[in-house]
Order: sequence, then C-alpha cells, then structure tokens
Amino acid sequence: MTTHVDGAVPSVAPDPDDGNPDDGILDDGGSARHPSEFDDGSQWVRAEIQRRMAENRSTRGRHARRGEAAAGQPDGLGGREASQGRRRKPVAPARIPPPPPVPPPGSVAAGDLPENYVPRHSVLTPGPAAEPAAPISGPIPVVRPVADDGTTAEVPNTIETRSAPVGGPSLPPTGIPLPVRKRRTGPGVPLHGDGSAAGPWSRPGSSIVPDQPVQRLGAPPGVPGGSDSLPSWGVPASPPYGFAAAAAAPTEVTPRPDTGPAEIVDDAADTVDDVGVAAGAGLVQPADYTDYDDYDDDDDAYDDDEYDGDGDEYDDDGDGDGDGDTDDADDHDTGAVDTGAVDPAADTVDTAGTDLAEAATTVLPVIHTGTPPPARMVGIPVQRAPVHNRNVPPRPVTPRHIPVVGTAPPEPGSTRVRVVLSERKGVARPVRTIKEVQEGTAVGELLRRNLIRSQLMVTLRFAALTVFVLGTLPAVLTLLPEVGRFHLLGVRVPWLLLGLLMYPFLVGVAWRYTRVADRVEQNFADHVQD
Amino acid sequence: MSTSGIVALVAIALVAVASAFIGSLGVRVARSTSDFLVASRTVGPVANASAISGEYLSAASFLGVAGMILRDGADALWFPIAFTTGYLALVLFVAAPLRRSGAYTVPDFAVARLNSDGLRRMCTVFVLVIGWLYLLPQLQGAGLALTTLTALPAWSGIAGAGLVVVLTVVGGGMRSITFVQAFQFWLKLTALLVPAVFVLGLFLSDSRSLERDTAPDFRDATTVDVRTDAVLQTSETVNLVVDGTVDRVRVDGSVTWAPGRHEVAAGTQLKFPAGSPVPTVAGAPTTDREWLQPGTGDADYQMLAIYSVLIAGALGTMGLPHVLVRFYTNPDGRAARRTTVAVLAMIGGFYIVAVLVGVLARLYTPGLLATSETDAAVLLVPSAALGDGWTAWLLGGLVAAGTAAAFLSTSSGLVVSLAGVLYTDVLRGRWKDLRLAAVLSAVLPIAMALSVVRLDLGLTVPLVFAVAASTFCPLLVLGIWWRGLTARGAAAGVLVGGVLSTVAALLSLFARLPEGLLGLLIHRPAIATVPAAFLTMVVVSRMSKGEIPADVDDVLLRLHAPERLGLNHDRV
Repeated sequence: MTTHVDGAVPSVAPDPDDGNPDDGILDDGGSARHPSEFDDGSQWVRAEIQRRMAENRSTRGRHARRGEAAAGQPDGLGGREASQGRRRKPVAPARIPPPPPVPPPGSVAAGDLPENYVPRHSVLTPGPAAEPAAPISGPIPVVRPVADDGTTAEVPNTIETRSAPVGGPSLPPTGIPLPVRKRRTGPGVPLHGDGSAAGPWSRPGSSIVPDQPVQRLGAPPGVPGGSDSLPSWGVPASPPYGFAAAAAAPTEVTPRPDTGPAEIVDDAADTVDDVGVAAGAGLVQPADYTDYDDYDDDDDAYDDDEYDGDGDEYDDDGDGDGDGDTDDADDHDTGAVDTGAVDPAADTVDTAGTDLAEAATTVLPVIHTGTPPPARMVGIPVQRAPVHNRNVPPRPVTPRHIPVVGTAPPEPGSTRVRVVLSERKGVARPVRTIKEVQEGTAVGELLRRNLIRSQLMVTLRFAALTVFVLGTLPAVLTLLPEVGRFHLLGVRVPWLLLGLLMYPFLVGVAWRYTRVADRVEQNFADHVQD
Repeated sequence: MSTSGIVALVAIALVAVASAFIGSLGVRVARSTSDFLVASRTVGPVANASAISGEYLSAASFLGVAGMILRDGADALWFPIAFTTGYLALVLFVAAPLRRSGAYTVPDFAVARLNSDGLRRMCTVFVLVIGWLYLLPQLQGAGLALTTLTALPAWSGIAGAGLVVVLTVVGGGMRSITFVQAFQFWLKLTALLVPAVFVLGLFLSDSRSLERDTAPDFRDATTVDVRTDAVLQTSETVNLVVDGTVDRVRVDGSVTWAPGRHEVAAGTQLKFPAGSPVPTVAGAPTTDREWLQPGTGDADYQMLAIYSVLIAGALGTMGLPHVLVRFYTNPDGRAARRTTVAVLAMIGGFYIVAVLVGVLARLYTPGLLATSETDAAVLLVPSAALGDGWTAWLLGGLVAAGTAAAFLSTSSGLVVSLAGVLYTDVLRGRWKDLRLAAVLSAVLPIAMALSVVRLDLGLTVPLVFAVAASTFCPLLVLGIWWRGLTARGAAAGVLVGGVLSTVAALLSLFARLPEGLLGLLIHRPAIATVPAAFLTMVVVSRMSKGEIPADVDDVLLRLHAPERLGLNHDRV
C-alpha cells in the first residue's frame, strides 16, 4: 500500500502540496503537533488526486492546490496560505480540539458542504489553491478538520487537493487519509469542523478531522447524518483523534456538497450499518469505504496504497523521510507504531491490501464531510488495525478520543490511528450502484430488469432447444417408422439416439448453459460494481 | 434358501454396515449446526453431485428402468430420458436462484418469496403427499428384491425394509449423509456396471440376435406364478399347463392359447415348456422386432403417454423434497449449477448402463415378461446369463448390494425430509422428538405398501413425478421468473394441480381405470395437470395483482444476482 502511496505522492505531491504538505506537514503536524500522523492522509490524498487527475474528474491540480488554498482560505483557519500545510497542521491541532471551532468552519463546510464547499474552497483558496479548491469543493466536504491554525493549512491543502479531485467525497477521503494513522498522541488528530473552514487538515494536533469522522468517532450518536458518514470514520481505532471535535463539524459534513459525497455517505452508511460499527466507540466504519470503493474501485490498490502511502508519507514526513517511499514497509511500520495494538491488525489489513485501502478510502469520504480543504486527513485516524467493519469489532474509538478531539485538540503528536473502515473480503461491498439496484432507483431498476430478463432469455433459449429436440423425436419416431429401422453402427437409430446419445446431449446443453449464465451474471456484477 | 440367496443377504447386510460406518465417521467430524445441515458448504461439486445422484437413484431407477426396457422396448427409452431431463430443467430454471433464495425446502421458498404462511402449510401437505407416494414404490421395490433374491414372502421384504430405514434414520445414521450417499451412488453404478459388462461379453459371443420376428422364448421349462390379475397376449400359438383361472374359466391342465389376449387371474400358475414363445403383458410389443421399433405396442395413445411422462419427469424432479435439500449445501448459485451438471452426467451414465441391462434381460430373462415382475430383471440377469456358480452368485450379491443401497439412500433421504417437515411444520411443539416424527412419516407408506397391490415401478414413479410437477414446479418456476406471482395465485395453482394429480395417482393405484383417453390421463396425468396448475397460477395471480408482495423486487434481485455483490445472506 504504502508504496503506491509513496509513488503516488510524488506525482500527487505536486510540488506545492507535496513538498510542503508532506514535509511541512510532517514536520509541522508531525513533528510539531502530531508527528507524521497525518502524513498518511496526505499521501493518500495524493494518490487520490493522482487518480482523479488521471480521470480528469475534478481538476486535480486544483485540488491539490485547493487543498492548500482551501486550507489557506478556509482558514480562516489559517490558512491556506499558511497552508503550506505545515502551518495548517499545527493549526489543525488547535482546531481539532475545538471541534466547536471546527463547526464554524465545518458549519460552513457542512452547511454548504457540497455547494458551499466548492465555492469556498475556490474562494478561499483563491490565492494559492483557489482554483483547485473550487473543483474540490465538492470533494472537499472532506473538510478535514481544517487546521484551525493557519499552519495546518498547508497540509490540508495537499489533502484537499486530492480530495477535491475526488469530487468531493472521494477526495477528501484521500486526503483525509484514511490511512491516516493516528498517532496516539494524536488524540488531537481529530479533525475539526475547522478543517472545513480551514480546509487544511491539521495534523493530529491540529486534528483536521473531518467533521463527520469526528462525529462518528466521538459521537457516533451525535450527528445522525454525520454519523453515517462518520461511521466510516468511525475508525474505532483512533482513540487519539478526538473526532469529538468533529462532532459539530460532522453535522455540517453530512450535507455533502457533491453528489459524490452523498453517495459516499450512503455507502458509508450502509457499511456502517453492516458493520454495526456505529458502536459508540469510534468505530471505523467501512461505510466510507464503500464510497471509496465506488470512487476507487478501479483504484483500490491505489487507495490502499495511497492510504498507506499517505500514512507513510506522513510518517515519513514526520520522520523526515522522503515521502513514504518505503511504502508498504513504511506503512506497516507506521501502522504498527500508530495503531499500536491496532496496528498489527492494521498490518494484516494491509496485507489484505485493497480491503484496507478501501476502507481507508472510505474513511476519507468522511473526511469529505469535513472541510474540503482538509489538509490531510490527519484527523482521521485510520485504524490500521484491521478493523474490519464486520469482523473486527470496531475498535472502540475510545470515547475518550472523542472527547479529546472535541475537547482539546489531541496533540498533534498523538498516535496515529489508522482506521480501517472495512475489509473488502466481506460479503457485502455495497457499492453505489449496488445500492441503487437494491433501492430500486431508476438505474437500479433498469439493471435489475436487465439481469433477470437476460437470464430468462438465456434459460428460455436453452429450454427451447431441449423442448424442440425432445418434443419432435417421439413424434418423428412414431410417425415415421422407417427411421426406426435404420441402422447406424450396427444399432438401430432410436436406440442409438435415445439410449446413448441423448445423455451427452443433455449434459452438453446444461454445461453450455452454465457457461452462458455465469457470463451474464458476471457482466451484471461488473456493471454494478463499476 | 439357496446359496445365491445367502450371498445376497450377506451383501445387503454389508451395505448396511458400511453405510452406518461411513455415517459414523461423518458424525464424529461434524461439530456444528452448519456441519449437520449443509456440511459447512465444504463439499465440492463432484462429491455433492455424487450425493445427490445417490439419493436420487432409487430402487425405481435401479430396478425399474431395466424392467421397463425389458417389457416395452424402444418406447421405454423415454423414461430414463425424462428423469434425466428433470435435472436439465433444474439447472435451467431453478438451481442457482433456489440456492440464492436460502430456502431449504419448497415451503421455505414459498415463505421467502411470497411470505405466506397459508401457502407454506399447503406446500407442507404436498411435500408429505409426494414423499409418501414416493416411499411406496421404494418399499415395494425392496419387497420385490427380497422376494426375488431369497424366496421370502413379499410382506417380509417390505416390513424388513421399512424397519431398516426407520432404524437408520432414528439411530442418526443418516445425519452425516453426504458421504454415505456419495458412496452409495458409486456402489449402485458399480453394481449395475460390472454385471452388465460380464453379460455383455457373453452376449457379444452369443449367436442370438434380437432382430427377429418372433417372441422371445423360454430357454428352459418355466413355471410362472401370476400374483396379480393380468392380461397376457401372444402372437403365436402357445401350449402350456395351467393351474388356476384363465379367461374366467377354472382350468387345471393343458391349454392351448391362440394368438391374442388372455386374462389370467391372480394366484394362477402357468407352466411353459422349454422353447415355448413367451406371452407378454397386454399393450407391450410381442415380437422382438416390434420391441426394437418405437411406437409398436398396441396400447392407446402411446405418443401422448410418452409426452406425459416427459413432462412429469422433466418438471417433477425439481419438486422432489429430498432433492431440493441438497442444493442448499452448495457454496453459491454458480456451484449449484455446476453440481447439477455433474449430477446430469452421473445419472445419464447410470441410465445408459441400466438400458443396456434391460436389453440383455430381454435375451436372458424373457420369462419375466409373462409375469408382472419385469422389475426383477436386474436381479436375475446375472444368474440367468452365467448359470449357477460363484461368479453368478457374487455378481448377484453385488446387484443385491446395489439394490439395497438404492433403496436405503432414497428411502432414508425421504424419511429424513418428511420427518423434518412433520417436526417443524405439523407437530410443532407437540412432539419433542424428531425420532417420533421419523417413525410417523414411515408408518403410513409401510402400511400402504403392504396393502396395495404391487404395481410396476414404471407406473408409480411417474405418478409421483406428476404430482411434484403439478404442484411445486409451477410455484418454483413462476416464483423465480415471474414478478407478478401472488400468494393467492400460487396457492390456487398448487391446489388445483395437486388435487388433480393426487386424485389421478390414487385412482391409478387403487382403482381399475377406464379405457381410452380418460384412462390414459388418469394413468399419466402430467400432460393435463401441469398446464392446469400453471394456468391457474397465472390467472389467479393476474386477478389479485394488488397482492404482489412489496419486496418482490428485492427478493427477485437476491435470487438472480451473483453472490459476490453481497446481497445474499445465508442463514446457516
């Protein structure tokens, strides 16, 4: 995972953000506040951004910048200008703690989430990342906890940028860094609503926790809507991060600006439900995952990697290492460190690879909710721990954390927690399209009908062939006795046909049918999952 | 008792012991509810298919197919084809969606799809009807086998077989049934294949041919005991010694039969000299050449009968209670399809051998034609072809073992299924012991088997399939593929099809049928009752459109969407 991230980072890390964010972030957030924690987020974001850029979704570049910009602008926080992530991050911590503060930003973000965000970002960002921000706006929802502090801004920027591209939700996630490893210290990590404002994520310290995430974690109970999304965050693991702060923000977050986010939310919600992560404890909800999946599906690997990578990066940054080149190793390491106990699991998760990644992704979405600009997900404690939505009991996101988050911004340095929202393995990977199919939306209805109709057509085709053969043979053999007197291979034709050849025929029809029917199902599944 | 009889009894005992042993191994391994109910879905398609085939190939298949070929020739070739086609219909229409529905039985499916308790109860009733009707020929086949092999009275065979089945089920021997069933399938195939190969070798070195315009003849002087009223026909003049009632006249002495039909009352003894042409049961082809040719019997509406059997076999298989249960053992719908294809191949291979044995029986055991016991052909071919000696005895023992396996596997599976239904749906809360339900579900068919005149397996088995095809087939097919099905429509269709076919089946078993089309439709009801059931279901559903379940779309999606989308949830 990490590797990718790292790799991604470079690319992603476009100059500004990357350089700044990573290093800066790391330094700022990481070292100063929360050590590398947020790094992951940034990497992740980067990866996302890259991806998106590739996809052309939203302006990637923008996003990246936006992130910054966002950070800066929102910032109010501090700024995007400050953006240069580092500052922001630092700021972030501050913010984080004060979820309330976040709210403001968050509120902005949240309220607007989709729309507002965009504008804001763009606006906010105007300067540096402004443009990107705009695009981001959607994604931005991620509103990571904007680093309240100006400092944070930078980091956030990076993140945001990515997030922005995402189209909103997705980006944020990235940015957010599911991967985010929270550092324990990190309680601060929690994203704040601020983030929204700031956009930038503060590092743990600053805790740019996406609003939603926060909510979930801290108070899953808290914001319903937010909670959904939060769930994803729910990353239980990150106790450190107090998403609590986010709580306020979450609300805001909830309203996702971009459609994307909305979807994400849904997915997240679903995931959450499934997982039952909701548990008060911060559960990392896979829900977000879902979202990510949608976004990322293709990129799962990326996501994972990204996340991890992000995490790594953060760490790295914190460490001063290059971007998380180490990739996996780093990730793991980080993870281990961060998560602590959780991490091990996290590692496992990593192994799972995509799953985690996805999860991470998912998480990001949550972030989205937060301020789009969220520098890095820092706030998001990604539990590495393989918290799988289902299996793993969501790690108790420690209520404390929540409080922490809410209360005092966890320290920047707090441990990173990587929250793995979900695993892919699971049966259900609710994907947006799947949801649509399940919920009977127009698109879903169409897909459903197509599936059943095409299956029925296949079945009827083979049935018609069989009925034709079995239906005409008795009549032919009875009405045309000459056929029955004909010998083939020393055996009368009826005996040869009915006593011997009919069985291979029936088996052949059945075999051929299973092939065709499997293909139809395959196509449907591919359709839906893409 | 002859040596061959003792060998056969020992072989049967060995089968019972081996089955119990394999079953006990499984029980030791089984640790959870999932193990017991679905073997934790760790059974691969081939093993699972073996188990399904083992459970499906009953005494009727093992004995009946060869008997029908012996008597009816080319026209009987459609019976095994109909039974095999049942699995094709299963894979085409039902296998994967049924697996995905999570239903363990048809009543479960009714609830899952239409959420109607009334329909569930109705389905339960017909599961019992079908199960009991199907146990009847199984028990009678066991009685016939025991009588033929050891000369013990028929009732002892039925009672003994019933006792063995109840004991195995009650003793829990069938709990880990999968491997037992798989073992029994391969035993059955071996028991049929090895004697067939031996006898085929003999046949290929034999100068006799079936391409002739005369009836088969008795190789040795033969005494035939007619146990049920019968109408025999002959195409040549036959001289025989009669002790009993022939053509409504009490006779005790020599008689000459002119070509044509002759009524023989139950209890009559006929003695044919060696070389005498063999009279056949009325309606069946008399000469070998006619036997080889399709559509040459002089029964009425033969083509209609063939179509009716095809419909019953093709659509009835999916409604047999002991077959459906196995599909839930598959890990997913895709595996369910593959399993069904494997079953198709296994059963097809088995029937090819069974047909071959039937052909050989025409040459070596034509004497059976003069009785109503052509079903004993498989049991008698080895000794008839190979004469006395250890080879023949051992082969006879092998066939006996296969017969026992066929009987035990199907009967046990049926009794377990019926006991489950009785226990959960009928006796709910009143009886706490599943074993009592097992005893209850076996008592009625045993009593019927003892009291009802034994009929050809070729008659009774298609009747059971007709009932299944007229009730559960429309429910499953329309439930899976048609969004507009309502609980009311389904209930009406099941009721119409079920009542019509059940009445026809009971009339066929207990009453003398009228001649002509009506008689045929009672005898082979599927061609009328299946369309009636479908039609009723569609029309009534149309009339109650408002009652279409609200969750129909979700349910249908679950039935058809591949598991990897995560829409399905297994209960066990």
